[in-house]
Amino acid sequence: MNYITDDLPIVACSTGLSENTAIGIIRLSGFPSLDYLKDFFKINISELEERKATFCNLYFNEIVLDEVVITFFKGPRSYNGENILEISAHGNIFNLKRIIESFVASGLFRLASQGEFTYRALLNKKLTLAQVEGLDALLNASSSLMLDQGLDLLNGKLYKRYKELSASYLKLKSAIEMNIDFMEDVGEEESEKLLKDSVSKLSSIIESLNKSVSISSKSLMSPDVVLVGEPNAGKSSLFNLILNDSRSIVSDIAGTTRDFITEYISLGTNTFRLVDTAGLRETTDVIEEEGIKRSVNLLDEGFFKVLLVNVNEVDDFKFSAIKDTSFDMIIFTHVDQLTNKVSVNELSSKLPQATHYYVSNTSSKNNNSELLEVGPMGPLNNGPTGADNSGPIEPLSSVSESGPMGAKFLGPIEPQSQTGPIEPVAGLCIVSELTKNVVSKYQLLKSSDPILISRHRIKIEEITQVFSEFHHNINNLSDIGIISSESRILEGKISELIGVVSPDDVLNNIFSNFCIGK
Amino acid sequence: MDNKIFDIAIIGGGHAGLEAAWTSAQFGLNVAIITMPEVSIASAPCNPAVGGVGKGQVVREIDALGGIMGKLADRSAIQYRILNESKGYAVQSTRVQIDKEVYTREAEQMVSDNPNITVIRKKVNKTSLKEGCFEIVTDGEIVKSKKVVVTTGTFLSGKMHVGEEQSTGGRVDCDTAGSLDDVFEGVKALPKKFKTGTPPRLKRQTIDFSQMDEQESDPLTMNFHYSHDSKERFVEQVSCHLTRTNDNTLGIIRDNKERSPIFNGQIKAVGPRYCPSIEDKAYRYEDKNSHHVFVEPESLELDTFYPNGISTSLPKEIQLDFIRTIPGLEKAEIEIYGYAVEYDVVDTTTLDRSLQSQDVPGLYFAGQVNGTSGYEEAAGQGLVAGTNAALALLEKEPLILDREVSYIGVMVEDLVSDKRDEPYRLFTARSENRLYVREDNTLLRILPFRKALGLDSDLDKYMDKFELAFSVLTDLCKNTTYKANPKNKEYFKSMNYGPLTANITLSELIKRAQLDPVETITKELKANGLLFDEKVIRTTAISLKYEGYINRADIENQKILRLAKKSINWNKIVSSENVSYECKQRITEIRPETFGQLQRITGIRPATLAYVAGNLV
Repeated sequence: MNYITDDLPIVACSTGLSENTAIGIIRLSGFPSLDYLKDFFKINISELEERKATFCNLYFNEIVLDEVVITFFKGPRSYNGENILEISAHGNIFNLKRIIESFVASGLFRLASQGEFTYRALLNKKLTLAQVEGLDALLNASSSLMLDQGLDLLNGKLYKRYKELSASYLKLKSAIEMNIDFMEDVGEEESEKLLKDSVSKLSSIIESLNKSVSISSKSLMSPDVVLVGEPNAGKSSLFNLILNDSRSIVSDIAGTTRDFITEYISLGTNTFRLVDTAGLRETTDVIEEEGIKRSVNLLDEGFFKVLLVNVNEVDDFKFSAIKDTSFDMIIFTHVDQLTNKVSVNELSSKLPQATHYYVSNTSSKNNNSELLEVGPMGPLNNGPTGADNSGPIEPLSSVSESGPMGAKFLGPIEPQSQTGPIEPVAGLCIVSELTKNVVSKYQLLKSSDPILISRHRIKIEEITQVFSEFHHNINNLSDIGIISSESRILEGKISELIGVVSPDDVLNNIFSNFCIGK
Repeated sequence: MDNKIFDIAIIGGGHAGLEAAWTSAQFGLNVAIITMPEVSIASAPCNPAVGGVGKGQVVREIDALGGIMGKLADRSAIQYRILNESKGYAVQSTRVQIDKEVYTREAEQMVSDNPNITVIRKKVNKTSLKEGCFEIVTDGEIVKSKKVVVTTGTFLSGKMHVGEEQSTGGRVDCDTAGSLDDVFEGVKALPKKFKTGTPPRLKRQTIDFSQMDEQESDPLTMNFHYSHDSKERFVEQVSCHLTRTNDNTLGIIRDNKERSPIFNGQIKAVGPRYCPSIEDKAYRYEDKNSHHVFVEPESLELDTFYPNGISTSLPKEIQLDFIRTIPGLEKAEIEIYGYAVEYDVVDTTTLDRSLQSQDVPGLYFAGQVNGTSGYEEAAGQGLVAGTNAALALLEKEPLILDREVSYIGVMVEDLVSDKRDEPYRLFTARSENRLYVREDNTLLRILPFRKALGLDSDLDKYMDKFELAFSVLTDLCKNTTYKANPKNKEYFKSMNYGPLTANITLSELIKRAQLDPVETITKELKANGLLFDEKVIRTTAISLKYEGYINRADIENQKILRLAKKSINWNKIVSSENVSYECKQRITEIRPETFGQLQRITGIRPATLAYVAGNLV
């Protein structure tokens, strides 16, 4: 779609035409004055006060179309800087369509293109490009984080970070030019220093932006809490415990495949998808293998990863596909069935690395946890995973939240097969630990100011890449002409991000995401 | 007094005026230079040097368009240097110190030898357009001309300052002309005058050079003029010397701040930030006391030296005081005191890209009166204005140099696209295309523009030959392959060319970072017994070296350029309701013809650009 627009008055429905609703809002924008509308309203329309709701009839060809409430926003004090009339009509689809068609049939209005109201807001400097993107994020958000981001863009917080990037680039560019044009005035030493300083400043800004996009947007937009483990490790039990305990929002919606089950749950203030994967084990069965592949994929994209291992089967644990995965939690289950005393330390050395370690009974009735040596132990596997973790491991002093990170003892996970009574208090314990960890990880990510809008993510990745080439060049080249020329490539990328001079395709791309009338 | 009507009259005989006269006379037209009686043609009232970063390119562009500056500079050059020599070929520029006496004498000679140029040494009082012809009222004579090029430099409302002393005049010991609006009817001046300054001149015998760093002339720097042997020297070569200011120097200047016309409000005009007076340096950079002072000879025939870097308008006794704190200048005596000059500047946004006034057709402006600084900038504009006045008379297409291929193009477009709020100087940073707009390839860059003039002179023939040799050598380099055989591997080793692991062409070889492209091609041609002109080798080698980078940059630039080149209708933009009031005002003043020009206007909001971009078809 091309946004080469005329200045004609436009009309569209702002509330959607897919369903009957109580009220539907139709917007008219860009008409020269209220007088322009006099055939549609029998009231003294040109005297209509701005920003006040008025109840009246809507006419077309002298016939009453509907009883409506109209509100006038006089340009430039309106959403997009033009004169806008908002008509709240009865929200029947046919009614709304008939009204819109009447305006078009009058020849006084044309149907708005997708996002055209907002496009005009951009043209009239009511919104910046980044703010338009923010609006897009706000309107189409599927997570609270995306909502936040939309607001950040609308009120310019993120834009400020970009401005900082642009200012810092400008400094670098100046330093380069100084080196060429003002050598005799400034002197070799000073201009070299300026160049170095400005490169390192820009480098740190780009690095911080890159950090903000390095988090997978999927894991933030619809974060998965993924449970994996061997078939009898207790995943399903944990899954059910969590469901019982947290508010399950939607019923099972997976449906498409039999190999994993998902439920939406609410932890803290955000929504997560809880995923119970197919049991992991080495297999030759083709169908089972496919299921396991999917589990691994889910795990790769997962936001919070939990591995459950039957403590008695740790020695047999050799699932290579997840060997390099970094887990958030590893839970040793069936501790009550332990026969020999063993240290968590030793157990962990045979498993992938994790941030938190927990041990759990199958039930609280015969608690044999003393068989397991719990802590003190440091986080495992700082080095390569494998056999070299056999020696005693020093606790790390810098370890987070709850002091030295050891395996915490938890209440039992009820095995699926168990028929006896569940111990609710103990059960709650593992869920609340999990909740606590999920929420704190999510908060941590949020506090790193993630950038979610995909156009920005792509541009920032491009900037990072171009800058790293540039950085390489600047260290290896004495030809400042080339350095300067290469910096223009970086400049192009930066201005594409900030949208100062936006090539047509950026605009088109953004506006194609808008629904009519927004 | 006859009633002869000149084709073109040039008012002002400085670097812009001379170039305007010289290039328009190429077309066989009748040209008059009307210049102040006491000022010789193409004198150097400030820094006795031609060229510099970016400016060296301009001098070569002028030369490639048939101008005179390069020739004069070579013939009077007493010291040669390549600036930015260690920073890569793209940013290198030539600068020569000129013997200002030789320079102006040669200029006078060449002008008097030119049958198409008449010199009238009179002060101009008024110029007006009457029935399609300009009447130029001078002291005692009315000169008529079909076209007029105004190159009055600092003379319009010229006013000089030395401390509290003020006098009228465009430069020391010279008369002043009237104000711009008085002398040229219907022309709009900038509301604020510009200011420039010059340092005191020192007597040779009173300078102790032994305390300064000597900078010798570089014998390898290549001449500007195309037909000069590239390393020929026409006059004796001498050195410049470098010394530095210190705490005492700046202390004295700071102690006398209230006596500085720039800072006590006596001068209200705007000076250039890039060429600050020593007062500017002292007051604005309080923690820096060591500034370079280059001591440059003005002429082998003169006793005066030009201390570059300490331009000043402080009172005479203070000038002497602070000068004598500088190492080597303890006993220096001043021959001519430094001064500042204020002058009227035309609003260049009223000019089009041929430098013709849009308000008074047939009237062209060039040089310092356009708010630029520098002899090279002046000459470049003189060439554009003079050539275009001639082309207009001959009813030919105007000479519009693209900013992508020349610094003159950059300058002219910058000038007409935006109001200047300080004197304009060319920096290479103003070009978007620096890797291409180099000194070595000037002939190639300018060739199509020169050919379009249809003059078919020796210069044109030389350019054709040069281009042919260039393309032959380029093909040769691209098609010469070194097979990765043991013999060649050994050869590469012996030449320090680096490893030879796969077949490689000569043009690929010279792109290796550790190799100098010019040297490498020279060696290889020699080894194969091939003879090419030294300048052709240089241009080819450097062009090949930058090829890849230029292409890369080009892709980026294209995106912007495609849009930038599109014509816009400023009338329509101004009538749009979607453009803010301030933007409309700026646009109405500047009347941009392309989107690129619109972009370069300061204060144009992104939203306006987006609006215009969105509405371009």
